[in-house]
Amino acid sequence: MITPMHALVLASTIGAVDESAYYKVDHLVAPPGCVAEVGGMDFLPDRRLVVSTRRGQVWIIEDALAPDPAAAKFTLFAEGLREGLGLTVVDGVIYVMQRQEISRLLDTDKDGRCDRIETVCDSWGLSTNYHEFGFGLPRDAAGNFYISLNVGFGSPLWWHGVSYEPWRGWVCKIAPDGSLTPFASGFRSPCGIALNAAGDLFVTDNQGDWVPTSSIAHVEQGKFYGAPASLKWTGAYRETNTEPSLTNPVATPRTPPAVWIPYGWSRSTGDLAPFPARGGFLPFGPDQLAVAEMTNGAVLRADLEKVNGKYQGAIIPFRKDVGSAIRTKFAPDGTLMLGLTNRGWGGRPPGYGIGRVRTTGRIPFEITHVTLIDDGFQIAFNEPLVVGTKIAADDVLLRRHHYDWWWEYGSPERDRRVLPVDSIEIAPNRKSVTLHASQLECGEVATVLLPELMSQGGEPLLHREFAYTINEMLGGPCAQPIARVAPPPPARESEEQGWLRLCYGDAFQLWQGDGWKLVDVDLDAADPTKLATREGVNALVGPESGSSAFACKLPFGDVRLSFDFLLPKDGRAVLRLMDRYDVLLAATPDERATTLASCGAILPGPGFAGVAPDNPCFRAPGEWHGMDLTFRAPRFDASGKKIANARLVHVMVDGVLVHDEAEFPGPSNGEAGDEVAEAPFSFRVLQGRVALNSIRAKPTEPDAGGDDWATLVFDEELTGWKPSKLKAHEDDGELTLDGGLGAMTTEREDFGDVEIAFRAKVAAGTVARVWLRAAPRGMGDAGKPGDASKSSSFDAESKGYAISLNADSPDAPFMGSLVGGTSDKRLAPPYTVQLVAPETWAWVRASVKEESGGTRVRIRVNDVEVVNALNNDPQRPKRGMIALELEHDGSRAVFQNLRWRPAQ
Amino acid sequence: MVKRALPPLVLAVLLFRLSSSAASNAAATVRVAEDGPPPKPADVRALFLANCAQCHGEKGDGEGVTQLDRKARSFLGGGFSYGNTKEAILRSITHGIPGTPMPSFEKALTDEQRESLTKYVIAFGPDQIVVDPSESEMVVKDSPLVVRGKLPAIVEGGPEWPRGLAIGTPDGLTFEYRADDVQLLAVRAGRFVNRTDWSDRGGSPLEMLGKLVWTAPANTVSARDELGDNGDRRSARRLLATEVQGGGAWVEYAMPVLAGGTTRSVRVREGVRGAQCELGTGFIRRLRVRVPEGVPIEWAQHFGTPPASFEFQQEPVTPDTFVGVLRSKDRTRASELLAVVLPRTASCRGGADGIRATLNPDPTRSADREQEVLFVVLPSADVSRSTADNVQVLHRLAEALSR
Repeated sequence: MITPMHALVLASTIGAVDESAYYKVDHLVAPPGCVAEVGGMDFLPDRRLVVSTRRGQVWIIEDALAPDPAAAKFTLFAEGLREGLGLTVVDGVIYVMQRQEISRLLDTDKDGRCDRIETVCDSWGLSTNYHEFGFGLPRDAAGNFYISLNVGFGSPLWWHGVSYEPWRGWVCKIAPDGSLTPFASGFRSPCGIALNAAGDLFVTDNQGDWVPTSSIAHVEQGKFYGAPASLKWTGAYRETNTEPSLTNPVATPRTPPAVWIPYGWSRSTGDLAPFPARGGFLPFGPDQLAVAEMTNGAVLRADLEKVNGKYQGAIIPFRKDVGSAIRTKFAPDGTLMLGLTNRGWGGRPPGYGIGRVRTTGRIPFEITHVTLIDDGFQIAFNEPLVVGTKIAADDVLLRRHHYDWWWEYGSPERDRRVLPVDSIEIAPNRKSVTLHASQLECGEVATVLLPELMSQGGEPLLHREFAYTINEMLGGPCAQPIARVAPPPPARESEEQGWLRLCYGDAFQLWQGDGWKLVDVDLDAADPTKLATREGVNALVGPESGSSAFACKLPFGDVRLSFDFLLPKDGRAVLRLMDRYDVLLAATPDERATTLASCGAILPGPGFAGVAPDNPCFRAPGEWHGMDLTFRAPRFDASGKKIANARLVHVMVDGVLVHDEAEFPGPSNGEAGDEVAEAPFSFRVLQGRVALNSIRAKPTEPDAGGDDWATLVFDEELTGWKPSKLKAHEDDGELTLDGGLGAMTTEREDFGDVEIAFRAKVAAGTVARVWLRAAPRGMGDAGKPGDASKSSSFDAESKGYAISLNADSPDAPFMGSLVGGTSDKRLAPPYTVQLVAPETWAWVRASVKEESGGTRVRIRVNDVEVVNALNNDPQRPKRGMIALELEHDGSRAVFQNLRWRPAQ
Repeated sequence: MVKRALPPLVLAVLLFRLSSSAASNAAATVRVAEDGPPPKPADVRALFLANCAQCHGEKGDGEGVTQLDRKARSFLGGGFSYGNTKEAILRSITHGIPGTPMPSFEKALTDEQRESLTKYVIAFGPDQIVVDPSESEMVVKDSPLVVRGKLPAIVEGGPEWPRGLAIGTPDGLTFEYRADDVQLLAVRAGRFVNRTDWSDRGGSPLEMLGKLVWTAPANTVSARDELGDNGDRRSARRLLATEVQGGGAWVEYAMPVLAGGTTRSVRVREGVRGAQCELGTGFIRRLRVRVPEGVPIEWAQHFGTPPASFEFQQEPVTPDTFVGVLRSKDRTRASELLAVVLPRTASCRGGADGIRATLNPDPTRSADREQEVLFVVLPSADVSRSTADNVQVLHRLAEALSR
């Protein structure tokens, strides 16, 4: 019986029987100096092979079909082209698809060397982006060429393919007069483009954003195939002057590809070639396509049929171990020629050259056709099954899956499931079998693995597995596509937004905990109730039980917390929120019912019984678990009377919901005293040890409150700021400082007791500062007149107060640090922990105010007070400018809503 | 031991909705303080085992112990999602790959550690092609070479030209054109180009090996003729062909000309080569066109570096041709000199920015016959000679060309 456990990984079935007995592979021997990174191939009428290469050369190869691959004679015909990723011969004339044009190569003086390169078409956009490869070059019966154009991958969001220029992400048609028609949109990296024997156009695409797995699409004019960037150039977007979202599903109707290729079979799909009508490759005819696969170094076979008038069908492995093939082309004698290249992309060796797949003369036993029927498949073979073959329904493994259509890189095979096979019948002529599976569903990829079978002639079935793309059943289209709209994942750049990373860079600055160490950790092999530690940086581990707590120094009120924990067998610890409210972390695996002793339990306190978790969440000792919770602090009225209990909005452990709204009527820790609005949290060990990691806190975004704030940046002219050499520009309320060293300062020089608030985002490596009471140059001491000629800047040794906006540069104190003045007179220790990730918005508030003992300086980052210091050095200025400073080249800082008010 | 498996989809989605990310948490995110010990090369195996092997396998074969929805990349074949160059792999290690369990190691590992891991995982795969610059340099011998490719910025901080054309002539000059609309951007002297786009994934600009001797002034090179929103680009010159013939190099293009309120297109053939004469060295542009009835055709040849003051003179050289010479009034020092050799039916004028020449239909000849304009550009010429001398020198140059 077949169970899911029998299911071989798809890739492992490629060539499970030795393919080389039937299909031999060799590679032409090129002369020294010829690195044929092949991007296009065709034959001249006299059977000489022509190849174009990524090095911009075109080679003509005589005797490319001779039995001995070393007999091939290579002659350089042209050079100086730009990436020949497509080539076709028309009436003996060579046409090459280059990155920047389609060219006709002529040899006007007949000396065997190209001397004239005519531009057939260059009417598509090209930016400087490296990824804008252009592929070709099939030609239809009417003389039109077809090309496919990659989108670019920008920086830093390179995972969102971008159409920087017209027709990137399109398939285009070029008429014989050279005019270009944008033909179909929705492609990402469409490396293969070919016509089948019927003259229909097929294009392969490579998995990535919005392309859940590599695919083969039948391309028709005006249709959209799923990758959104290209839509930018369609009328609908141009007319509304909008751009397609690269992160949310667009509404434009999608045409599904005819074939989704399982990831295990193809990671980088190349060109297609229809099998020849005659030749050495029995048993397949011209209705099937040989598909190049670079990464795995293989050739696949696409066996398409029309269902309800639309192409769909099966993909079947054909030959592995061919090298990094991106191009397929059948020779006049039926040899399958392979163009190899993998430079910069990677794939199986050989990484360049020209491969040949030829028959050994021994005919394999193969699946020839797969035909969808009402409730299953008819599977045809080239030879009859051996007499006496019996196949039980259980011998066939039928599975199905679908995909997510979203911006992330590729998609897992979703809801992969084994479906029962109801029956399987062998046809009377034994040349086909019919598989019935009433649960076969529309809108899925079905994979079928047949048992080992033998032909009448004694050959084993060479490839037993296929994957069939069911866009439609015989009854009509499916209710939903195979690549389904999935909830868009959070934008990657904002994933860290608002989080304070409490143990990055310096794991201990924000913590108190005697004996806690930064180590690597495993279960003790000899005693699973213990943790074995070794040198490393992946875990924070305290001493044996009875140890001190690991307590955060920062106080929090409402907060979302996220951290990872690992426990040994029988290990127990608590997360203590606000020094009062306890959530249990306990090694309680394999529970069926939860109790107050289960992992995630809210522990009881004076006057309340605690809350057991809704679901068991602990998997196993020695495994890392991720806890994510949202906590609301108790609320008090003006008189200090509690009006709302502390509560947990949610608690999750690795995606398991542990609590959904649970209250703390009072503290679990009865010794903590009265409940308060803000207090630190800690971890405490009850038994054994606990390992922690990735502790992050995300306070709620504050409302700055009050209507007495005055905006500091409100127009493009930067009114209110002195002219500065700093590159600064304002756009839609956002102020960007980019590039060099320098500062900009307010015209006003007398800000005294002042509070500022803003959102800031800094690039990696940036060192930026925001100054309060910055003294104009030459006015280092309060009260001296400034030097007007230099007043565009301010005194670098100013004794003002500055907030460091550095996310990750080791050259300066990190985000939140109070700097300025001389370093030996620091008012507060600099932050060595990297609280805020680069490229994420942080909400900063800072104030300076005179009080009786001196000057009070306060800084809050993401609504947590990170500095509260008192200056009693009378030399520090009592007033000054507000200044924004970049400390070195290559820095970039963006500000929103920069505003000030008198300090309260 | 299994360290971490991704949570099942449904739960992962729920978690996303709560805007956490299980996948990104899978990375170790505690970081050593900056003053930690630098990694030793010998440690890279340990680094790999600690950070990569759970998913990618101890042998780099993608057979790690962690169960993933999609198997991790095997390094043995050398294939990577965003390219197998050191830069691309370092980027994937640093930032992770969204949509896959591949996390970011930006925080967990130092730059040195990530770089050493990059080299380590590349070494699992097959050898990569290494292109020796001596192999990728194109050397012009007795016949010109034409190269299409991305041109680097001509002046520091300037734009790259994504659709470029470079012609190397046997006299040691390189002519750089923007191919989109066949604009001559610069001329260099010295070696030709290194095809740096033979390395990595492609797409890098050509390395121009010669020294700049002439640069089109910025204000004469329009912003790159970007395709309009509908992709149309019919208003500008369009490249038709490049050709190497009889030891010379030619560029052919369609040029729009205004004729009676409508735009017509004429086919221009432009030859380029070096110029060497008693006045100095520089280059020659030779423009050939059939002038249609009633359609005068104008070209401009701009100074690369205009002199402070100029003087323009025209003199006949033969019964059929005349020359125009534009040079500095200050005869005491070398400066840029522009000259034009034109058929007698043509006209020209000189100005502060260069020479404009207009070819007119020649009523005495068939319209099928090509007319020719010769522009001579001498960036650092001897401007002290007499007009008669200049005419003689230019005459000899033109004679030599027509031979």
